Amino acid sequence: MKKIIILLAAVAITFSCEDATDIIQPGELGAANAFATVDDLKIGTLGVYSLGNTSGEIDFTSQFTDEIAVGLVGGQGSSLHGYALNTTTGFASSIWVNNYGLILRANVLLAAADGITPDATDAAEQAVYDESVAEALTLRAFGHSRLLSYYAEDLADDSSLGVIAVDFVPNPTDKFGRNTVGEVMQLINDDLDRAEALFTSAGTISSQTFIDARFVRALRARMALYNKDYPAAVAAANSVLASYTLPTTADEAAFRRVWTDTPGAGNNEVIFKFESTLNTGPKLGQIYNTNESDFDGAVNYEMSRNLFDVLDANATAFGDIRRAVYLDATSVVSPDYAAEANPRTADVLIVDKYPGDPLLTGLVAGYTNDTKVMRVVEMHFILAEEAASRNDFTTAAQQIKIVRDARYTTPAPAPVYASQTEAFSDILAERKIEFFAEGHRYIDVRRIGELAGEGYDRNDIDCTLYPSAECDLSFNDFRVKALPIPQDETRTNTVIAAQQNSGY
Amino acid sequence: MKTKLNGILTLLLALVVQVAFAQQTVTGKVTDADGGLLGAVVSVKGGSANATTDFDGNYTIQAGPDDTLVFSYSGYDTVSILVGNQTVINTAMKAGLDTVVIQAYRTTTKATSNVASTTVSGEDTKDRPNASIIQRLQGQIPGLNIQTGSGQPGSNSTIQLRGPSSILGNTEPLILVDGVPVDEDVFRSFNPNDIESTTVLKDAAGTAIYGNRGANGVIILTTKSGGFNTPLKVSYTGTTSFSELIDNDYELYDAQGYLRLEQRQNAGLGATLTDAQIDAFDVNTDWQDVFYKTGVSQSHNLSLSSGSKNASQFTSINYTDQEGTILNSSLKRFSLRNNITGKSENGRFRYGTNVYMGYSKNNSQSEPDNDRSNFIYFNSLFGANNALPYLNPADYDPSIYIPYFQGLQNFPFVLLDNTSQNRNTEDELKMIIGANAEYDINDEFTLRYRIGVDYQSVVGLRANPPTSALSRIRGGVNLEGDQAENYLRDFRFNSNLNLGWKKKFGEGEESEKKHTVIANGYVEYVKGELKQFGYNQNGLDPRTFAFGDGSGYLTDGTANDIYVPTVFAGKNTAGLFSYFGEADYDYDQKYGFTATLRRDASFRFTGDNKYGTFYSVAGRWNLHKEDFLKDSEVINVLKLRASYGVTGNDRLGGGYYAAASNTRQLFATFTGYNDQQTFVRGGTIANPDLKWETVSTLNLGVEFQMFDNKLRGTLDVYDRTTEDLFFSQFISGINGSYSTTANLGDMYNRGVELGLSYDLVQRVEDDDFYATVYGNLAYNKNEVTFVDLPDGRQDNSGSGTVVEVGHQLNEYFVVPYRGVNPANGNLLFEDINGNLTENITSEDRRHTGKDSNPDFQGGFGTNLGYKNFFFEASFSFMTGISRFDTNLDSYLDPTNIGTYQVTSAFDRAWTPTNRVTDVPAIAATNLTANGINTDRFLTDSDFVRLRFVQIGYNFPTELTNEMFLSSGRIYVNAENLLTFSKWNGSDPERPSNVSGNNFPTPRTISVGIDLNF
Repeated sequence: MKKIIILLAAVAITFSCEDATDIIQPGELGAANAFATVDDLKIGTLGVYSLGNTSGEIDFTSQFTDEIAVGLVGGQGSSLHGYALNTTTGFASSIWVNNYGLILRANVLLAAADGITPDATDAAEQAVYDESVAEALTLRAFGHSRLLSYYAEDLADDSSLGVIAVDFVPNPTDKFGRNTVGEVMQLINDDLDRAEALFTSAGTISSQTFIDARFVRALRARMALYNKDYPAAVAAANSVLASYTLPTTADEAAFRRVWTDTPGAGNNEVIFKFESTLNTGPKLGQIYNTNESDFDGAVNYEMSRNLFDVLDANATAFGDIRRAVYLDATSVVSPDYAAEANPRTADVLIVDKYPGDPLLTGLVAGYTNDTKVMRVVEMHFILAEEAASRNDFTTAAQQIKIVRDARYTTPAPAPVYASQTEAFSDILAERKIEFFAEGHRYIDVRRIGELAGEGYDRNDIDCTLYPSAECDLSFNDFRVKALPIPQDETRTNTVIAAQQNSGY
Repeated sequence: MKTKLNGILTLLLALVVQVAFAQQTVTGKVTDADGGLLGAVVSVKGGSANATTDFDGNYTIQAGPDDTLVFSYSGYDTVSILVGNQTVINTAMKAGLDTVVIQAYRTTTKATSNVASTTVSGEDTKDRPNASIIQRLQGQIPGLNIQTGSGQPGSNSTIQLRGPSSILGNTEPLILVDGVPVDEDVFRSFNPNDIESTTVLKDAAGTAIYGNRGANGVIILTTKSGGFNTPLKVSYTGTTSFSELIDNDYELYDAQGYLRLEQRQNAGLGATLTDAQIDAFDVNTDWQDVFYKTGVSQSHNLSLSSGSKNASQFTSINYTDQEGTILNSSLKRFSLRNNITGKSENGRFRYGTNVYMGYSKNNSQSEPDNDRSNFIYFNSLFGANNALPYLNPADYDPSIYIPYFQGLQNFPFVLLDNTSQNRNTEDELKMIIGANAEYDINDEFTLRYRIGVDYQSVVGLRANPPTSALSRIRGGVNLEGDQAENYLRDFRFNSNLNLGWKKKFGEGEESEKKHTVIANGYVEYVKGELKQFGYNQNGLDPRTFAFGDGSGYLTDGTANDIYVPTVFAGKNTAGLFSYFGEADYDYDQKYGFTATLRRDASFRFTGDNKYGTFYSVAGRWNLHKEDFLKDSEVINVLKLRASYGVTGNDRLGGGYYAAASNTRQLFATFTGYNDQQTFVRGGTIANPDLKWETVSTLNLGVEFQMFDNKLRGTLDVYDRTTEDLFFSQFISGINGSYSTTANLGDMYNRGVELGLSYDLVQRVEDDDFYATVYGNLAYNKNEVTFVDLPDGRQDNSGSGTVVEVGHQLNEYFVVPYRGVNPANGNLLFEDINGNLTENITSEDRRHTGKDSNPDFQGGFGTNLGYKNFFFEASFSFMTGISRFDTNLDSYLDPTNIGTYQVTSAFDRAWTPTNRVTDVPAIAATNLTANGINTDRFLTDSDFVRLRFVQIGYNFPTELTNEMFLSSGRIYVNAENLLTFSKWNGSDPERPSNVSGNNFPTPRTISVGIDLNF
């Protein structure tokens, strides 16, 4: 008997303490082993890109502005579509934190890069290192550019409140106030300058889905325009246009291939796009349709009838190819929308800007497309705006004609502007069509809505489909001016809580 | 309530071997307050003869005139009677102080226990028509709050003792089955009929010895065992049950009413019909009737127990087939238990094994774990609540599917299709295996060793066959259909070595010594291993597809990348190492003190935080043993208790394996941009300073028995303080996230618990009337005392609640809704300054004093009997619980007109000619209330429920003799027969801050028979 007891006691004691208490879970990767080589940096950049997509911004812009209307199965639409925008709005919170997440990943990688020295004798390794750092710097600048575009008090006023400029890996206890627009612009431009130099030294030439110096220049042009630093904008836009030429005649089939992401297509249209695959990247089509972008795809949001009317008139008069490309062929168009007893079912304008990738198969492919971040056409709009700003209406009109020639099968004469308001109004209208569902409309109206004398213009019938008394919004409305700093930030960051955008 | 505990200690008392002379046959009946007592042991003092009473309390034994018969029953005072010339000896036993009381790692007696605990006999949980032992306990234990969020048979319940002690961490008690710690969430595979007793340890005196796992209380489930020297006893229980949906109280439209509304609103089908067509409309569907049914259930339980001189066994077999009330929901369970105890000839070595295996097949539609309650094409409950009454389920045709997706209002056809075709099952194998051995090294020292294993493996299957409407619409021209399977194996091992010392000091014989000292030292090792893997396959060939089988899997080709299955695997390990001890002193059963001390090391923490020290001190004073109360006519027992102690909680993330690496900054690899493998810093920001949540509990208690023990009761007051709560630390978004976690919160729970039972009429003769009433009441007040935010408030605007200093956890924080503006039919709210407004901001929200945790809760009931009839009724209640009724919200949402069912209250909605009403204008412009939380749909859900009622009949002896039975009974019982609540929905009980389209717990009526051979 005693032997049994001793045996039992022996068994009990053999369980050592460390076995139960010093447990590292399977599959843990610690910081020390994460970034060790230059190749690790290159692989790590892909993780930075992963957070770079702007689908939330496209989604917010469509729902909030006058781009779309509630669709066939969209119920009452979101409260955001009814203009409920406040400090607790989901997008106000997610656009903020997602872009800072992108910046954080870039900063983690850049900090790691500081600790890695490429082999000076190995030019290829140096190039990979330079390219990785340049990509991270560009994505950091891109993150700041998105934040500035949505949250800055006044993009054109360097002394107004911008966002928090973060060029380091923060501690959880860090709580910063907003930097000025000028300070953030400075960081963006510094990052872009460094990135351009590194891309040049590395000799990087990328496909549309990766960043190279051309995107760096285009981003510089865009932000300079937003900042109303017109000389810099013109210089950067022209340097981009040195590498790209927009088609001079409209080709519907070729333009459609840009949106179906056909390999090799759009080399004269797209400077940079975030790639979406079946497994990674956002599913942009699902912003508008539950499934594929046709009548059976469960339409949540459809094209705004007002936008459609303009596009439809353009197509009739000039053969605007965007009518056929941006709108699905299974759309139901009411001949007399205003008189329809049931406008929801009588008029179904299906957004086909994200028609799915025909090279992929299955349900998911039907709403999977790349996110077009920077297109060549934007450079012409930049030149047009710059010209309009100094009352050079001829140049402005020429730039708009370049855009229209690329889209109209029957070319229209160059527009004639009698005033700055007219010029900006036409630029804004053309941008509304061209950049439909690409996340530009909110930023455009807040930037130049006042110059154009226009805010959001929703169709009156569209407005009956959602439960809010508000239909149009003036460019003066505080909600059009800037997003609120989200409550998620202000509740803990008392510094920034005192710097809320006006109206919120 | 009577307490019947078959403890080993009691049985040992009856086993002293000696030879007897001059035998005569003695018969008799052993009774207690309720009548005949089953299973009482009758033995001859100093002899070997031994008998056990039958169901009616009858026994027969051989004894000589000089012998003394000893009647013993666990939980009752032992009675000794000299035989003399009597051949019939009846005796009435009284619940005694020397009841065996189950405690942590050991048992003690009621008189010498220093612990606040409550025990519920297996009698009070058996024969109930509920597949979960946990759900059967509701309302029976003061302070133990059990709420069940789903009507799925055997579904998990939220168990909370004395309020929530943690926010993000685990708040459920440690549950032990025969000493083996088990997963507190998985009881669907466990056979409730095996339970002998359930003991809940509440204060630190009881729980501190469990250290890190005892912070939320401890529930000890003890299963039945055979007794030594008892003949084979065979028991059969069979029940058949009928479950049905409890009707809700919403005012809803019939088809014609709905069509007229649509006509007025120019929406849906009604807009296209004339008055005459609507009058003639002949479809009127109650979709509740379509998706719900009466669930029919059966349960068969067979148990065998027996014992020889040195060994005893208990074996049970159970088969349960329980249908849920929603179509295609059920639980099937088979279980086998074998409990063995044994001892050496001299009794110094004792051992026991408990082996349990349960296998269950769970088939569900509501998928509560996936939070799919508002997935309209997947949740048939959504269809039952929201489908339009003018749609006809007979129109469902599996061959057409596309129209069902054109217009959301056709969703019930998709659901009908989905419910009939899809499958969502979990097959679970559960084993609870324990073994213990103890050896008395000498009279003072005992060495004990115990190991236990809690094992479960689950095979989950979820599939949409390629023929289903959902698959066909998703596939388009391609074949679709998907099947996901996941396998989980959870193995938890526990090893405990204990050296015990017990010695009496004092004058006189051993039994006269007045000082008793007990000391125990323990070493414990705990390890858990979780393994999971699974896959999801898209693309099934209908020719060969079968659920759970891979024959129909379409393989990846160059043209169809969608058919690549996704796979996942996971592995986790958890562990604890502890050493601890206790010392207990008793003086003459008058005064006693216990102290415990435990050191725990958790795998979740590093450095100095790894070890936590937990302790308790407790004392008691049995006043009734003092001279001034000894001879009291009124007071039979009066005990005062006090305890203070500190316990810890390392399950910071809630789950057993959760938050396992939070002290380390990890990087995660994944398929990143461009489908290329990459890695990034993980989203969880490392916190190397993480440490134990500590819960300090002060408990004061009184136990009393009065008026010949007719009135029995306990009263406890407690103050539980949790410090270093694992809670959100709010951070700037520049960290890529708005919150991380740290030991940053404090809160307390304070409360009172009262348990009373009273024998109104005691049975003296067999056929007499008897009646017992009982009740328990618990009050808990919860308050948060520290939140790491400048204003001390965590604003959970998503759930309409705040966690704020000075308020209860997750208190509702909303704008009051004040009715309808007679001027325009808009909603009126009260702004923060007390003025009525139509336009509110988040600044207008305020505290409500309401939350979803009960303030008062408990139960009350009665046991009655007359002749062979018996009756039992048990109510449970909760007050102070509120939640958002999202069904009501949906029914009052005008934008649902044409798509979903809405309330017929719209018939009295505001119009220019009906200005004074409680229903806003259908075209009201502020229905969304600017997205701000209001109390418009925040509804009290206090309830009183006839939780259990039973009436039955014990077979008379004449009948049982003819049927070769020792006893038998038949009964009819019901669970949730009546519910009284302001809550409009079917089920007021759900443990959540919102309720809508959830699977309500049903009303179940059951008939059963118990037979003992």
